[in-house]
Amino acid sequence: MSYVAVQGGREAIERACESYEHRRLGRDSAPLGLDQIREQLHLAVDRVMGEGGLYAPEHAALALRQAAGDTFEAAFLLRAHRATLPRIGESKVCSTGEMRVIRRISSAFKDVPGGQILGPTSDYSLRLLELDPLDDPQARKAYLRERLFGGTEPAGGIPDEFPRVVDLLRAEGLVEDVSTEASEPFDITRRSMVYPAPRNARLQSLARGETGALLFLAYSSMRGYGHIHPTLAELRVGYVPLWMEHPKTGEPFVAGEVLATEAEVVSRFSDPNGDPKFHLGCGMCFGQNEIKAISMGVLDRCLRSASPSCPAEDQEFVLYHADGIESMGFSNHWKLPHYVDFLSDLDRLRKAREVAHAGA
Amino acid sequence: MREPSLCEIVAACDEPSLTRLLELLPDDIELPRAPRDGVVLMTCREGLGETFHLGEVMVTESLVRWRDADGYAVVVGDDARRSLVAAAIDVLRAADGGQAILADMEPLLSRSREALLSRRGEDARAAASTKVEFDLLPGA
Repeated sequence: MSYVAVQGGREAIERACESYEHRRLGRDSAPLGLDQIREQLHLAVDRVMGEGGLYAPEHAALALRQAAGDTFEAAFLLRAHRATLPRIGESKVCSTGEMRVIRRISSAFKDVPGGQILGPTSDYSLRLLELDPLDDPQARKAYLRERLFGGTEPAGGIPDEFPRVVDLLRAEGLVEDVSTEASEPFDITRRSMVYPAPRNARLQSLARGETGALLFLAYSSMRGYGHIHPTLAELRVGYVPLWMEHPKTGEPFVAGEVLATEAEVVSRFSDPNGDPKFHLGCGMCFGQNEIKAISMGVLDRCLRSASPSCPAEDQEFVLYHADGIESMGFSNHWKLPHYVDFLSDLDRLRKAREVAHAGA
Repeated sequence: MREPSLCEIVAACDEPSLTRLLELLPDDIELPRAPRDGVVLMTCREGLGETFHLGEVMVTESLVRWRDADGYAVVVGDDARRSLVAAAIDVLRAADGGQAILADMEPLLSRSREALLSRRGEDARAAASTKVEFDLLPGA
């Protein structure tokens, strides 16, 4: 580390913290309620949970408020809080097949079993800034409730479980068989990653990666600094039951539900044994964060390239740089005193100039 | 729709119901360990069949003892009271003599279950209303 320890300035630091808080609380605006953040800024809450690696909507809302909306800082606060909590145990293996779906689309097939469910999204509308103020939010809410829940129920409803789109391809023998790890999945929060990392460790690492970092790396591959131009076989958003085991009876039980997004992408095919098959990539994260899940799916596929040839296909490059808390921390540390370091740089520069000018 | 679990039903109770459920707990219920918040590592299986750790979930765990039986519950979130009530109901179901208390609790739990199912029904209904069948343009 190249920063140096300094002392003094305690009062100035205290005033700086108070100034930050004073600015965050606003001059004339009403205080932000946690329920407002959790419900009305839910996508930001979801992002913070995913990047913090902790599913805790109330605490993520608290972190967002404390961080004045900075998702890096909020994710850091959440992950730091996580470090203070005991790990009570591990869940049983939870399946997104059991997901209570609120949104599910496929861009690979027009007609999929279970149907295309657009769900809560603005994807299919014009993204224009709504400049007209919402005069009466309660009336608007009542209007929306009437639109969504008034009248007769939609015919057919939706199924409790949706078949996976990739299973349609798999049934025709069109999808690669991936050898999965038989042993317990690697836990990157307990053991240091060793490269090449097993796929389950890569998935865990990507699942708590920073959304922008994953998007940047995946986008580089999509645009041509790589080879993965995906088709989205399926994107689903919904609530996954958290299955636990009762320690006394051994019976499984559901502790609650966790909102998650899952994306499965298809990209390229190979012909290893004269039997060409599609390759898949999978992405999954806490909350509704579709960009992140899709990017993760692309990167999962990138990282399984037989001969890595670009940054997005390099495990160490991707996994060392995708964590927002580590990258933010490192960038932030440049704000700490580096006086001794810089004096040394200055000395060297002055000596170099002396030598250069003496020889001129 | 999946039947809600006991933990989910208690977690969904409104405040007056929760207060009443706490009042109904037997006085001699023991807590070998105070309810504690912590995290559970959530493991998932993805589309290729690989299991991996998605992340950790904040939960509250309670362990209770009553008439030589143990009760246990974990609820998602940081809520010692709901976790405690769920564990207590778990032990009341397991121990002799718990049925009378459970009978008093039943209307409260039933109401919470209905409310939870109603909310999930709304989610399903909203989703169903967005079901679409796209048509290809002629020539596509």
